[in-house]
Amino acid sequence: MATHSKKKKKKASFGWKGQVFCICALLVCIMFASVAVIMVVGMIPTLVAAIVDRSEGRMRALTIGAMNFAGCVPFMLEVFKKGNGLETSIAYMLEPQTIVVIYFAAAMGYLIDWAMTGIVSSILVQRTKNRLREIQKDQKDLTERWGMEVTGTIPLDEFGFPKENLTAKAEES
Amino acid sequence: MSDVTVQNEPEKQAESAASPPAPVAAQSPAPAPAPTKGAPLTGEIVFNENITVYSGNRLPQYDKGPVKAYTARGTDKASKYLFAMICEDHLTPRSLKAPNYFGILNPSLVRLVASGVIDWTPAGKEKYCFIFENTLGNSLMKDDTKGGLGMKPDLVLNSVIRPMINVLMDMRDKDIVHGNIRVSNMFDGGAKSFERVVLGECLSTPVSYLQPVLYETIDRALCSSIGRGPGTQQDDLYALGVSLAIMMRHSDPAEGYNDEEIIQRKMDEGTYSVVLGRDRLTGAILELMRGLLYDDENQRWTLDEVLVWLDGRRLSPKQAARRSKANRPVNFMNEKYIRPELLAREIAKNPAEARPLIEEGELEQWLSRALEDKVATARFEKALRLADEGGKSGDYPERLATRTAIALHPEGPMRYKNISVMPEGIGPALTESFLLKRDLQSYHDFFMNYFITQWVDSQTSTVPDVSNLVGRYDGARAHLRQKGLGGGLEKCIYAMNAEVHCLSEKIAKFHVRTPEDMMHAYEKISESAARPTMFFDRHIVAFLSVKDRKNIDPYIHDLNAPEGYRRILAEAKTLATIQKRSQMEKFPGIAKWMVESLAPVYERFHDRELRASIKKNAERLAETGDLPKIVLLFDDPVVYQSDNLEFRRSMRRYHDLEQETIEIEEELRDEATLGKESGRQAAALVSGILAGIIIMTAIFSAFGKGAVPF
Repeated sequence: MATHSKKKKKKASFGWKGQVFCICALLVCIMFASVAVIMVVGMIPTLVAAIVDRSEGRMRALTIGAMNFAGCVPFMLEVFKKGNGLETSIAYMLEPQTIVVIYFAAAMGYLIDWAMTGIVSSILVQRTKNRLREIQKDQKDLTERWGMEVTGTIPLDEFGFPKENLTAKAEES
Repeated sequence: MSDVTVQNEPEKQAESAASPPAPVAAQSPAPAPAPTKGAPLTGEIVFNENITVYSGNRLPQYDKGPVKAYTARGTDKASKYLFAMICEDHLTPRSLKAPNYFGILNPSLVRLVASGVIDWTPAGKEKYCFIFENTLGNSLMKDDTKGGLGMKPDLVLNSVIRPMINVLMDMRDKDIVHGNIRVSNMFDGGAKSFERVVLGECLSTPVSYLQPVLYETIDRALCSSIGRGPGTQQDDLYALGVSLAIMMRHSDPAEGYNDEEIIQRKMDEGTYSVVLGRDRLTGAILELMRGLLYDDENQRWTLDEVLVWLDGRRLSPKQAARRSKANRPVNFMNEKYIRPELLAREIAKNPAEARPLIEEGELEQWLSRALEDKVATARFEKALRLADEGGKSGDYPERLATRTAIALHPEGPMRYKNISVMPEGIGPALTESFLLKRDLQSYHDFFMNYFITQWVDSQTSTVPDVSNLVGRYDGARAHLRQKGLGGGLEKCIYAMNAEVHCLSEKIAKFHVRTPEDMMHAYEKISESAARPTMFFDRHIVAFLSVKDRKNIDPYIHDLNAPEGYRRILAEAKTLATIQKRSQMEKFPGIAKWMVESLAPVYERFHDRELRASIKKNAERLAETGDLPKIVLLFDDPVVYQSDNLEFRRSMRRYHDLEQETIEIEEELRDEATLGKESGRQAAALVSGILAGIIIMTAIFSAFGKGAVPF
């Protein structure tokens, strides 16, 4: 039942708005076919990344996509400046330099993702471990000042004192 | 301990002590032990700075039963030749009467020089002692129950009666009953003849404790010697009458009789006949003797009547009221009784055997038909009803016997099991039983059975200060119901015997009579390594509560608390209150002891730092010996409240930290993925910014002035 409602929800998210967007995008692609060719060929790494990326929000695809798109933009502008012709854009795409530049940009995106994830992750792990040590120290300080009864692990009377005399017990032991 | 007198005794006394008994003595008393001339004074113990008591130099001729006499010497203002009476703990000395006694300056009464507590080294403890001026000489008669001195009435009148009546007048003025008037306690004052008779002391033992039965009125003679109560001046006059009779008589009509027989003969024949027998007195002295020896207290001469007689006026003789006697005897334990007083005594002694006699109606029949005493019958019926109230199990025979004895002999003592006391005599009797480790359960039952109201209701004459008496017995019952500290039989001891010292084992070496004495005792104990952990026990709490309830009663509840810290703090507060209320000096020893015992009290603060700080302050204050200031450290509720509040906050904080630890540990369990998400977000952000810069640069390059083709 839950799965069914999820599917329903998914279907609903690609509703009429999505359909309108797709139609619009198709129309734009038809209108700017030359630019669209560069986009379609140039953004293949992003497409692959989007398919492969299983992380929440697909952040890696976003990272790669941003850099990939930045790599495409100069060529799209060139094509646009040269009359926006389909032959021009194909000519650009057939030049290895274009593909190398665009895919290099995508690779840079991947590199940024790898580097930033590693750096931020190790910083966060270190910070968490430090916090844990701080907590342990705070707890030790609290125990030293207020005794074991502050831990709440021993039965206390109505005034907050151990029901069993800990001092006497310690002395006995 | 050798029985010696000292070489420095006054010449006259030494001679008299060594001299043979007075020539007037027909049956001479045994001579006092002769002094050993040149015997050194040994075992000196300083008392009150200017008096020295010699524990090695006994004066057995002045002993009062277990209370021993010792040689003493005064310096400075104190008289040089003295003797000390070292009191026994179980015989409560009459210390409260000492100030009154000091005020009596009569050459016919031994003069009290000092009294108080002495550090009695032979016993290794403090004892109460009285110091008297040694002007006594020899006793008139060693054994004062047998024989007689055969003195002439004129000599007795001038050398005994007049001075003794003067003494009794002085004692009446000072509200003291002597209770120790007998021939053996009268002394010749060191003279060879009886020119200057001196009456001995009466303070070192309870009233009448040492009086032989012969010198006591019938009712008081039936009591145990410790339980005769404070007595009255009429009892002193009676004892004086008996003493005079023994001085004047030539033979002893009661020779060979034991105490019970003497009492019985007094009932049958009257005291006059028992003590004088066939000795015939004539003239004025006969009137006096009859007047003093009336067995009926209401008929007996008073001091004023004796003074009138001394002035030479003759009083019309009173008709002696005879004690009621049955016209036929009742059989009890193979004996026949015609007097209810004697039957009462036997019934009290044999409760189990008396039960059938009482319950089967034989006794009631005897009272109504043989004794023909309607009042006594009514008293007996009431006694039966009262005995029934407690049910017929347990101690019923004893209760029945006691109540029957009161009904048969209302003027007599209250007799229950081994107790036989006048109402006011219960305190000293209880004290003695406690110290001699006798059965105390009977005292408990005695108070709980509340015989006092029956006794009071049965009296034919008015009982002085009856409400106070009944009130004290009421109080005793209330104390016994209170099981904790500040109640029980211990409190009864102090409530019923105002002169007793504190009987606690903790201060057994000290003779503590006031809360202030107790503070000084604690100060001395504090120096000892073997001092106890806690200050108080049942006796000390009861003693303090009776002596000054404001000192301790506010803390009784805490003293009985199961928690140690409350008891310790209550003790500290009590001691501080005594120091403050009595405006006493500082007690550094007690303060140090107190601070060392306060460990459980420090633990009542959650905050260890606060504990340390308060402990430090307490230790600092301990050096000053100011107990109220130490107690004040623990008396601020705000400190406890804020400590508790902070503790609760800290508990919450600890709990929050625990939760956080759990969360962090959960995160760290998969350390490889920790921060990856954030890293990717950061990467997306960096990548977006970088892409934005590249795009903007490309746009400006393409469409800006002087754009360069890519």
